[in-house]
Amino acid sequence: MKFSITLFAILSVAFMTTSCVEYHPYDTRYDGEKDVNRLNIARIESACAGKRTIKFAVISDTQRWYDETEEAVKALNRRNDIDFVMHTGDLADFGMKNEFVRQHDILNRLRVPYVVIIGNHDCLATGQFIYKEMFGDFNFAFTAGDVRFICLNTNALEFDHTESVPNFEFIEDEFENFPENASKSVIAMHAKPYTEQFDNGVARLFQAHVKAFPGLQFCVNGHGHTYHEDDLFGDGVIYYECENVAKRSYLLFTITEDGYEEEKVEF
Amino acid sequence: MKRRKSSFKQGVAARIRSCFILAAIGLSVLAGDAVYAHGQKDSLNIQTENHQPGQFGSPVDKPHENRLRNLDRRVHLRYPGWRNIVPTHAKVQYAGGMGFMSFGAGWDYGRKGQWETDFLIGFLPKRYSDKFHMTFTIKQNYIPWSISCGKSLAFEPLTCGMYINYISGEEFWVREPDRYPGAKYYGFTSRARPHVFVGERLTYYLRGNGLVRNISLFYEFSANDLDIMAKCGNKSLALSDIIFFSAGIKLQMMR
Repeated sequence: MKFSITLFAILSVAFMTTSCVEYHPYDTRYDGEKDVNRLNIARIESACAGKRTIKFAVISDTQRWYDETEEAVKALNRRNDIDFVMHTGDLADFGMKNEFVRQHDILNRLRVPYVVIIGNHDCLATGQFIYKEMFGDFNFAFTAGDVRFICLNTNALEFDHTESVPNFEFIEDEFENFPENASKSVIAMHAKPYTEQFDNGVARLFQAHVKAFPGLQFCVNGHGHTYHEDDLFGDGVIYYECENVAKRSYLLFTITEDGYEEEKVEF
Repeated sequence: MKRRKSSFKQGVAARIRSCFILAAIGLSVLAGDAVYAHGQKDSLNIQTENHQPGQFGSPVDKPHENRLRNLDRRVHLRYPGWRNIVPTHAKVQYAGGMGFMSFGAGWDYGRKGQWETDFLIGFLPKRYSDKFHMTFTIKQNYIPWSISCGKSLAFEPLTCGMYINYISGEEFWVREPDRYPGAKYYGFTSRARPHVFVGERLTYYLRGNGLVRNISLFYEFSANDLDIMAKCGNKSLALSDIIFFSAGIKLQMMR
């Protein structure tokens, strides 16, 4: 009797500590929330409609830093002045499904909607398929107030010509169908031009496309894990690079009718 | 701190937990009864009753001095000569990071056959991945104890070991493709994934000298290297986030 009770106790504890089975770390079996970017964009667009001032935070490169990501979410939740949060890529470190699931669980605790741009680590192995299922298209755009945000996949090294990276067709379509209610634009990406991930043969062509967008404010990126404020092409377009979350900081942008303000906030 | 899980995880977890609790109740009642029955009998009798020398060679039979040792009925028998290359058992395993289902064979060795090395081939169907993948696993098991529970049952309270799983598909690599700058741009392999595991087994001994001598049901909890690394760096990551359940059947052949 004692034996059976002990056994039962051991087994029960063992079963409580597991949450499910895993067919393979790289399986794409996912039943959770899908198309997160599209759902959150709908929230952002409706909440910001008609606003003349847009305030948003940028976090980046949260891979395998779950503690710090949680702290970032808590720090952002303490604010009540931001409209949305932008994650400029690298949720997963190794492209494993559970890394995406864990990060999604943490980011879902944000009080404000968020969007996630694909990073090079998110493309590894079956990661890109999970990103697509969980967050949606690699290139997407949305309008918050009067600002058009164009979010691009720039991880050319990962796709080996299986995708157009950067996708000029998407960029041109965005340019041609620029919404009437928007008068400004912000370009966001994971890897900026002249990094090893970017297709640097088209860096200038990319910049020419970027510069053509109406009321271009600035570009924002991640990938480098260090804070940068660079005029990469010497043409006045500033690329702001957000630190990785382990450095416990986020970028805060306020776009007003007169221009924009940028601030690096530590937490 | 309490973590909020996504709803799908909660649903799956609840279903699996309830199944396992039922299984645990069943297993513990069974084991409890068996031990109770065993307590009524002389364990020495059980030992001799169940000792059936095989066709090839004979077991090194020694009268056991104490009752505790008698509880472990396992005896490792060797085939003579070339027959040693014949696998001693076959296995089927569900999940465990080695595919949806894996099938294979292996060899046991050690005085009581407490070591086992398995080679498993598994698959990951297209519905659970981007496309169909084959998997190949080399598994090393250590099963230190076996507790005899009645005439035909034995409970193995601990199995542990590790396995390395390889997966097919061009999106995985062992060595990084040349397009990446430097020798260690990512510095990990996505194709080969080492896991460690602990588990338990329940073995049913069949009578006679048939092809299958005993059947073991086993379950395991496993974790892979990358997840263990992530757990080490993150207090917020629960053990339950990185440990996964798997189960299987082992058929002991001939010896």
